[in-house]
Amino acid sequence: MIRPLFLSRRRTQKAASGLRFGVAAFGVVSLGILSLGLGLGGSGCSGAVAQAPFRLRPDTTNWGSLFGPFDGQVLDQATGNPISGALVVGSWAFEAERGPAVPLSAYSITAITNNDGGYNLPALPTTQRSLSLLRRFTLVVYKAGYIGYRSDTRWEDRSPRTDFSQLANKARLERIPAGESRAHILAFLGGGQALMRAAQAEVIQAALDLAERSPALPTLKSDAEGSAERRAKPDRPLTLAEQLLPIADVEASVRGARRVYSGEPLPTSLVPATAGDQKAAATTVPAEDVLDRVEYSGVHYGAKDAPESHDAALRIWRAASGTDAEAVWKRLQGQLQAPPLRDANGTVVPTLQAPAQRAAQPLLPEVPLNFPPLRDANGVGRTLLPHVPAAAPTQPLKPISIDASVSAYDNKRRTYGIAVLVRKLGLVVELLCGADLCPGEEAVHGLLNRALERL
Amino acid sequence: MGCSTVRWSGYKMRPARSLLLSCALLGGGLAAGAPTAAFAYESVTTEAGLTQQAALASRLHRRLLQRFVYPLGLFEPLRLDLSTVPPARARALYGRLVGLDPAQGYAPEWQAEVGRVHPLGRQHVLGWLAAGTVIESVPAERMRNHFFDPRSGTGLRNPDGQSASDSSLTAVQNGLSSVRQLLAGAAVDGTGMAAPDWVVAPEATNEFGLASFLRSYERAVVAELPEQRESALAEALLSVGAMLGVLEQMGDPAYLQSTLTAALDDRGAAAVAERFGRAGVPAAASSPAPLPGQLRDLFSDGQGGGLAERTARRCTSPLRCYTTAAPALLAEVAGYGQRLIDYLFRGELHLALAEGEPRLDVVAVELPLGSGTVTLLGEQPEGRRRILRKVDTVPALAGATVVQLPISEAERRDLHRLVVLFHGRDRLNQPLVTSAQLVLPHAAAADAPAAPSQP
Repeated sequence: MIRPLFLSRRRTQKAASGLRFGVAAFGVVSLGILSLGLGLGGSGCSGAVAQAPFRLRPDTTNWGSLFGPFDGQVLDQATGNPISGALVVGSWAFEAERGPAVPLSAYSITAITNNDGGYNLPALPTTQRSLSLLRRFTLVVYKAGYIGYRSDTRWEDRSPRTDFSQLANKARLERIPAGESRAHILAFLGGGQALMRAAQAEVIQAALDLAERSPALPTLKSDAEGSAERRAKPDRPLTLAEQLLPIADVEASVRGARRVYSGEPLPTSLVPATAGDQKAAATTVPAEDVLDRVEYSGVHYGAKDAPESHDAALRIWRAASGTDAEAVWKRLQGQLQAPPLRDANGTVVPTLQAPAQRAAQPLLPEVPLNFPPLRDANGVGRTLLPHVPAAAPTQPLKPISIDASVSAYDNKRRTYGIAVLVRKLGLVVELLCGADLCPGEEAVHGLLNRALERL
Repeated sequence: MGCSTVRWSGYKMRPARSLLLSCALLGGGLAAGAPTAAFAYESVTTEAGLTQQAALASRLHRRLLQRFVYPLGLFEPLRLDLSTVPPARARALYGRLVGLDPAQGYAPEWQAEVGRVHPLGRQHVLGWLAAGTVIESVPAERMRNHFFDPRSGTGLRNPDGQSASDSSLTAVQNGLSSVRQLLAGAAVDGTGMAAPDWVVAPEATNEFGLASFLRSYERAVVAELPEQRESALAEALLSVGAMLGVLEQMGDPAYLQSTLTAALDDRGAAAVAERFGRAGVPAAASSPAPLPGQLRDLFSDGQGGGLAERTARRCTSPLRCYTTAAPALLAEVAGYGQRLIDYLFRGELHLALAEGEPRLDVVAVELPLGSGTVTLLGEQPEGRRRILRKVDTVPALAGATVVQLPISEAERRDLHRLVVLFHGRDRLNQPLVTSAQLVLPHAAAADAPAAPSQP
């Protein structure tokens, strides 16, 4: 009798349980214990055994035994040649006799195939048998460069294997095809650390495979990458304001902690003229607002998770003539809420210096000083702005000149504002920049100049 | 059936052994009939396979590379040192892990060392995850908390007309509880926590739930020695696997009915186990769905998108779900498992040393973060870590800086890398723990190309 101490303890537990249910049950319990003893005495120390799901030999219909022993040969699927040096792992699993599949103990043994590809695994040692249910025996074969072999499942279609036999088994291994995931093969094989040690090269390859195939992690993009991506894959055409002041310019202006910005359209700040304004203008032009003849574009870059003082915004009014642009400019001046910035001596801060040169590929063409509004057959005016030339000019263009500018600071919102008039291009541009993004006039001027350089 | 032949999960048990089993049961006065066919998706086969497929489809491999610098990712061998956990938990863990089947790829290799109460358990990440799934159902009475009725939101309960003592007797008859537990009043009484509640229950209630994961993850980052961190990560993975096991049970229609009776005769799950085993479980369905707002949403989100809701909806004829529709269903279940893993390891951080300033910027790359605590650790070349700073943080949007940590040149001179742990909440007030590490420039320059560690 193996492990008498263990058996006697189990026996005592069962007997004690039975006795608690009364004397009537005592006889049955004794019978059970007697049977238990007889059974163990007859076949070694073991409990219940599940029916083996495999045959004894390939050429019989008799069921095999989960206890073993097991033998067979490992062959190359393509050539039929025996594979020597393959690792063979046999594993017995014991589970609770009743109820859910609760693992209780396991025992495994390994072998290496000989020159003929043969392997021999002895029967489960009696010292390893327990009173719990011997639920399954699994054979795993591994050889570097081959998809392994499991006695319970086929790799090809992951269906249950039916050709495994206890004795004279033929385990045919297929070479790993190119492109097959080593990680999935290793996960399929299982086999424990013995197999993992033998499969070091496959493990490293599997890790590399997974690193390539598994979903990428989100990463922060550098300014250059981010703006390149935004330029390369816009989900809509960029507006004029976005072209003049790209989000990358704003993000690049951030000092200290990195911030992320998102752009949104910004409505115009100019309100249509009233009838009184038109009368005061005393023009001969039919009652028509200049704003109807200009093209407006605006963008607001809001800093995520930060107050408005980190934001920036750009507004552009584009007219077909310098005169119209000047009319817009006057309207803008009249509607400015904050007074113009002055220095300590009370002098208005200097006018913004225009960029020294124009872009090689200007965004906007020049416009005439006067350009009468076009009218259709019904006498309704419509804007006809000149197109941007498709090709770069053959000769360098003259730098733009700023005809007027005004700066202001909104103390309540901590925001700088600067507006410029460029008659030559029929433009009025207004930049708003929070004091945390643009800590002084120089920063505001720098940001606006970057925009004007693209004109 | 009586004492002659007992079917156990589709296998015929040998009459001689089954006689012993049945008679012993009769001796206890409880064996009213034969043991049942199966009980839920088998943790040792179906669920373990689902967990492995979920992990292979997830981003965990990359996150292990990035956060923990484990070059083999899912195949990185980790040692579980049970001397680092409280003795009672160590005993319980060892008792559950020692019986696992090596052939399935989730049994640790035990390395005995002189002076240790328990040997060191060693296996790769994928194995620890699957092991967690299996031990979630050990002992069997834990399964009382795996039920969830998505319509009522309740867990296991006694139907009208069935008392708790009736259910306890049924549980003992079916192996869910022992006679000893019955006598002690601790047998399964037909009630249990709803599965989503069980997963997020305090650690005193569920030792392998979310609370255990968060605690273990934190220790896997802040523990002083590399082996302590490795062991803590293995523990965290066990908890992840356990939570996966509970979630995967939502793919079994028998567990969506809140009564023990349906689950006790879950022959469908047995058929699934026989058909797929562990190795034959299909790969996870590609899931375009975003991460859930909260962990509970994976079970039931009230909109029909939870796994329990989907299973209840599609399995109006449960038989089909266990047979012809099983491959698609299992792939979907594995897909939910993948989302759970990605959810638990969400919240990628980016660390950057500010140029020319003695400061480390911590940026939330992946998700908006709520308030929490950021711990900055310095790691010396030999792997020893110490806490340098600990600061409370306010919510931050994705892409925004969570915190700027001062770190002087003198402080980082003897360090190899900086490590940051965020422990707090996400923007939906769900608990979140995440980490990142940064090799310091002087250390990176001095480092020779690192070879992958050997399994």
